[in-house]
Amino acid sequence: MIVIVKQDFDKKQQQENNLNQILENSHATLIDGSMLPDMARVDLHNNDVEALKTNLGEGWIIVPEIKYSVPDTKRKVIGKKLIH
Amino acid sequence: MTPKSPTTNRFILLPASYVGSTNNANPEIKKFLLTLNSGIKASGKSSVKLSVRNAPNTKSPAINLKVIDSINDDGAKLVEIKEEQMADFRFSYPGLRIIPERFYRRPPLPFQELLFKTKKTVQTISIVITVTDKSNHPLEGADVVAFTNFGNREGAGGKTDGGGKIKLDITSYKIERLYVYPPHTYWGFFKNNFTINAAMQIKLTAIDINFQDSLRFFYNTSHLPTISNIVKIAVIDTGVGPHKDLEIMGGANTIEGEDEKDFADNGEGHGTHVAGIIGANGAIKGVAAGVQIFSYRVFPKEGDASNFYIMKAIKKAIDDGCDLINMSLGSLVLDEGLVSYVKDAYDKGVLCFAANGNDDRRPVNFPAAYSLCVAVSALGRKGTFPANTIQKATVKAPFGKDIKNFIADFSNTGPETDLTAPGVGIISTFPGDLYAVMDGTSMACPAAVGISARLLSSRPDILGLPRNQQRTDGMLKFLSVHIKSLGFNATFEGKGMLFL
Repeated sequence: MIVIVKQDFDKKQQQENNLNQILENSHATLIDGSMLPDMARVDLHNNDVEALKTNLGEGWIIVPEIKYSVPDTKRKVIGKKLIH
Repeated sequence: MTPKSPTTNRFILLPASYVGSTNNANPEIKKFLLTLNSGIKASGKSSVKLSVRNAPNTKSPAINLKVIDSINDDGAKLVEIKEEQMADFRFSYPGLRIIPERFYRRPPLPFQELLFKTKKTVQTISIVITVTDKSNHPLEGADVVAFTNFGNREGAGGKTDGGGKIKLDITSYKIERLYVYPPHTYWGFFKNNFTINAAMQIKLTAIDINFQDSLRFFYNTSHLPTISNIVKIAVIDTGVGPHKDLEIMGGANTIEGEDEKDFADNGEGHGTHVAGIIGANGAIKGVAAGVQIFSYRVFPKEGDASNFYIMKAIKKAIDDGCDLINMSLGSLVLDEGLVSYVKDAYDKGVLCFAANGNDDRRPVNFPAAYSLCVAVSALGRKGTFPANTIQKATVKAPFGKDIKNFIADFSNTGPETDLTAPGVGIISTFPGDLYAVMDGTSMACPAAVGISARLLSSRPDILGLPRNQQRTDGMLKFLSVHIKSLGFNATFEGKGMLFL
């Protein structure tokens, strides 16, 4: 699963905390680190989320990646598919 | 019919940042929260009447706020407030996060959902629809959708080919609704409750850029002066332009693996249309011609945008010194990541606007539903689109004091709505120096952003404030005296529509 690891703005800012090492220890892969030290896009297995949370410690939060679509007002057919 | 009595809801008021006041916070917020606290100390509960910030000569009843509980003297307050007064409260007392009170239950026991599948053989018939212009030239790439049962969304649809034709297999010659959506250059087509033949030709009306659409009915863009003071607007979308009527001052592509400098439109045209509503300054005019537009492309071509791309775009817009951010996008799911960046923008003096969403009167999407973001619903007006166009199908109650005004059938509504703005049948720019008509809260949002920019351009004292929460609060307070109700319920129009 893909998650976003970000500094918690409501808490005291922390250093990058050797994030790469923490990710490696948590079996997570950095996909996009262009916004470090603020946040990073990370790939990891569902089962490893808790470990990553623990390894990151205070000052970091993990939020799920959410996908947004271009809003549309076109009406679409969603009824029963016809079987010929 | 007896009017529905106003609904009272419980909310938690929090400072824009942190859970208590800080040195960076607006001192007025601390004072306000302390005032609310004083009544609780005396009696356990406190009812306060708060004055409403309004346009001159406009009166609103005082806001009745019942303070139920408090965590710190200058911290969180549990309050009761009428839904009807939510928008008035947000504009009159900005700088607070307003979070609905939620109750948590034990997780329910897992259960096995049973799925029944039925198979039914249905006799189908084929029809051929040809879409052309008025001179019978075939139009390729138009989406055609024929509904035999609109309630169940049953029917057939597809795109016209090079000959302007599409063959559809349907179950009945009786068509409940037929929609044709051209990609650009023409108005769409709508017809309901008719019997179709095996072949049908539909001739579309070309867009006349001088036509008075609903945006230009409310805001006469061709007569508005060009804005000379610097106001920077971020458009977080599919990218913008190139278009001869648009000048893009900067921006970024925040999509993983794409060129950061490629923030032109990805081809879908949505962002170019949005930007044109704000700042087109050529053959057609946006509501704020002269503002500086920054494009942040977050939508890959025909793909979805990660919240990471959007968060990154907000961060870049803040760093680029933007004043307002337009987000004509949304999700039904609470997005903690995106919300935290909207809050960060607010703290840094940048005001975010977002579209309510187009889910047919469902609850307001995130991030619009977040209290530090201005949420915009879509307004339409009869007589501002040609007959037999798809805009006809968006007309639905409620109607305003002027009965030609209506809230579009697709627009999401709810107590989080702050403003309404024209979003039905809007003519604007499309990539390739073309023009298109689009509908949506996506179009209403930039109309509100552009008018806000135009109003704020006359207030260098506000725009010149240090980039902190007081600046954002100041923007909202100033805008609040330029809003008028159009006579809808507040869940549909919020405080109303911005006027010049």
